[in-house]
Amino acid sequence: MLKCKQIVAQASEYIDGDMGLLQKFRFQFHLAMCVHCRRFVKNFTAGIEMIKRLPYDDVSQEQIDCVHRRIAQSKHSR
Amino acid sequence: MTESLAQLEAELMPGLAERDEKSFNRLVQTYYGSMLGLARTIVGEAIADEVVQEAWVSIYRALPKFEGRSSLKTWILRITANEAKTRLRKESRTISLEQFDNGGEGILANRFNNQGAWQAPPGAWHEESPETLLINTEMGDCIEHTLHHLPDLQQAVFALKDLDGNSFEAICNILDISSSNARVLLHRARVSLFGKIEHFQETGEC
Repeated sequence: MLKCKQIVAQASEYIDGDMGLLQKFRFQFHLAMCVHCRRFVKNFTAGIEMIKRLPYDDVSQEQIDCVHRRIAQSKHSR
Repeated sequence: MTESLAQLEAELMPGLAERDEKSFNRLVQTYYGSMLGLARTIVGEAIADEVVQEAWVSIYRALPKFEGRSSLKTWILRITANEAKTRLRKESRTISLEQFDNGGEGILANRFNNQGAWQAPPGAWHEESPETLLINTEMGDCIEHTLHHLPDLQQAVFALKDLDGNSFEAICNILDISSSNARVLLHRARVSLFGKIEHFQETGEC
């Protein structure tokens, strides 16, 4: 049976769906037996999902204008 | 890449090949945020915006030569990463993207006994769903602070995968690293961030 430490090491593979069938079975078998690892995987997944939802900065019109100014300058300097 | 982005790129390509301003503006609006997120992880907050601006000049020049071997987004992010690395070289600063990433096996390494079982198991969180976790703005600030202090390559992979939703294949193409490296770096970054969230949950402090 996998050790708790291995569950932590393989947690991203599990969450990302990168495991083969046998590896996934061994992982899930451990989870079925171990309350601490179930909690870890649950919290780890919730943490990642939270971070994924952190707001992204929107691009401003000023930044777009700045891109055009840079491109215009680069044309003149060539 | 999502289907809607692929569709958008397909719609924009004819205009972009002829350097149509409207199509180009749409491209800038769509990818500026992703580029900024990536540039920050390589050169830091202070000059990230400048690096992105320079990258757009390179992109504008190279657009007619874009061959479509990768998605437009991957191509744009690769140019951004290269621009950022060039900028670091010019400033003679450490090019951490090209160094071996020595991030350690993670913040949780000392939580196990010799048999590999938990000796300090994870506690129950006060808030468990992503939505309720996000309500705490102090935690959000703490996460951002932690993210910006991860080793550069971990930050870059994390930003590209979990914040920007790129595939591992695209990430390897953008950063010039192997797929197994990308996976290890992503996991290390996630474990570090998880450790910080857990600490915040237990103590209320960053």
